[in-house]
Amino acid sequence: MTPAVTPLFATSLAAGSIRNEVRLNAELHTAVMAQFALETRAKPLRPGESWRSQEEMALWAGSGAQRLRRLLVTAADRLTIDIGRKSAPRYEWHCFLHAHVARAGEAVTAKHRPDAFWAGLCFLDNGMADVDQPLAGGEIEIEDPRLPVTIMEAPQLRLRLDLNAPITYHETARIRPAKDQLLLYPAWLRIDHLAFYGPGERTWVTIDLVARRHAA
Amino acid sequence: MWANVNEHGHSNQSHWHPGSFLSAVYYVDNGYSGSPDPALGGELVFIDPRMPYLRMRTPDLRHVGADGTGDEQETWMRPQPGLLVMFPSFLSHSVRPYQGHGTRISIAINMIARDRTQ
Repeated sequence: MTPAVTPLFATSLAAGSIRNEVRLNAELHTAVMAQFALETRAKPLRPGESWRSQEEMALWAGSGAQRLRRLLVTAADRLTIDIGRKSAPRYEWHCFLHAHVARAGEAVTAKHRPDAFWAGLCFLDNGMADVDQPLAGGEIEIEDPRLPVTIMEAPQLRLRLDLNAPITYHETARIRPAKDQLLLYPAWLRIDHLAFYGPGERTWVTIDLVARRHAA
Repeated sequence: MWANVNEHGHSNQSHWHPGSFLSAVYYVDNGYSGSPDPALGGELVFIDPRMPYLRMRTPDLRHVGADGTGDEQETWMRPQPGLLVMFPSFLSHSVRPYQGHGTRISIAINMIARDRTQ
């Protein structure tokens, strides 16, 4: 018998970059830091708390936010199939962007928007001062949406995913953020930000893409 | 391990195998008598464990995956004699109505992992 493993029901994760978008990162970063200064002057952060913009970026981030929004809508169109569409598109995307800034040791709580179809992260600066610093943490941890059922029966056992390579199932996946990195995933997917101890300021944008159906 | 004998019209509703780590089915005879006719039914169906929340908000929209297709909530497998299918016991599965006239014989298996040190 020659057994083979067939993965079923994979969860979509789209990874891209805004590196080739001329000056988009710089434009967004400048706007984010200006808003960060404005909001934290008005309401200082509590010790250990990271910053999330009070206002949606469309209200204060200017053309950078518009460019990012256009890019995300294009990506969402490519990454989504409407099985009931006959001719004209039936849905349009509403894009909600919030900026974040975190420094070493500050807590980050992932927020989930319940009406979004896609969610995402766009890293303007990973806070690592251009040096790979594995011990500085700050990975994005993605949870298997089937948890805890996958580890309930035999918590010490893991299924092999490739019979010819030492690849086994893990209940979480970790991604080390990089500057310009763009991640899109189903909005119901649970993600966590692990503790970050890099030398710089980590700056990123959280993305929620809501699909709204046109009136009939 | 237990044997199943199925005749025309038989099916199985979706179910899991709680208390087991791996489950399997071995097909001795699919009952099709060599016919490739899909109308004979009797497929083994695996159901996405992320259901129903994949579809709750916008039921018509699908997330595109690495192969360029949208996420589907079921996978169908047509039994073949000699086929052994093993899967996590938490995975919901069912059998679509079998419309053939031959006798279908399969063996269902549950595998429980016991810790030898305890």
